[in-house]
Amino acid sequence: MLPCGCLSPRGRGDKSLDQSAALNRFLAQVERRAFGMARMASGSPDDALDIVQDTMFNFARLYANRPEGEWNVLFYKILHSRITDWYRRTAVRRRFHDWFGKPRDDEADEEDPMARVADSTSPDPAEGVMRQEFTGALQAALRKLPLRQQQAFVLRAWEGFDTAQTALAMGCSEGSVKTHYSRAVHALQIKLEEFQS
Amino acid sequence: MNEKLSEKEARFLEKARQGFLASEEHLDAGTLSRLRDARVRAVEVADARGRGFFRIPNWTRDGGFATAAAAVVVFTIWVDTPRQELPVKNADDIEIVLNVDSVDNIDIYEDLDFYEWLAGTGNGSSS
Repeated sequence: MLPCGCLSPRGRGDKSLDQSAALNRFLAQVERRAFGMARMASGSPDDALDIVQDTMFNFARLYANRPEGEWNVLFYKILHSRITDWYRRTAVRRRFHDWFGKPRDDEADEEDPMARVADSTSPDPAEGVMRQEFTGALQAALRKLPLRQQQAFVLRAWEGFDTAQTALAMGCSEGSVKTHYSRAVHALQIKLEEFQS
Repeated sequence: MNEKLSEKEARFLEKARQGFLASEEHLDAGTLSRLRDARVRAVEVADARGRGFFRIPNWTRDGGFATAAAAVVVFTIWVDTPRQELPVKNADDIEIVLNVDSVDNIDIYEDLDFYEWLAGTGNGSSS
């Protein structure tokens, strides 16, 4: 034992390994959901992968040394910041294309390919089909909402964040989160009325 | 009415959550592979940062800043303190102050026995 309480090289190596394993576990746990959120916001699997990759890099670079309890909110904070950046860039590109009359790259990507995949999580095929249809309709309806409403809804309904965590991840006040979330739920309920039996 | 609405809302949210969770399970192998690659690279980035030979721990950096700031404050106070002009600046000045070369001073020391005797006899006093 070192008198100064410093970690021995072996101890430091163990700590580093533990941290790498914990980081790997955490990223493995959130990567699918992050990809789903990014794809829903962008409508493009390739762009979604870029967004998630960028998020993972920045998270590892900036926040890997922070306590593990803070990781979840910090990760989604970066993810939604990247999605917002993507939105801004895309809006500029779309405006540019609209001015010059060029066709958009994503016009053919309106339908979510995941909506066509059979749902294997339900033992009842009819229920599986219903859920699959509902999910496809929900994702399509979400995509038409303003970005902030989309983000508030997915963070609360999908990730299960409370208002304070959502506010931290979105970088806005809790009051704004409540407003965005309430509007999103209201709009989605109206759009998905047929599924609410 | 409100209770009914919130119950309906809760059911809707649960349904949405189930739908989202189910969609996570249906990713193709190519996407999963790319996600895994990105994850491995991100972990490597974190490892490289953690193992860096010249990496300065945060507490050392903070402590360094605090020490440097304190040093600047101390130096500033030290420089700004008004200096008192000392009458003696070097060895020559000491001699002048002590006036060791002065002839009068030497006379006083030579006549010390006389002054002592004078004080003893009382002739030097005014009474």
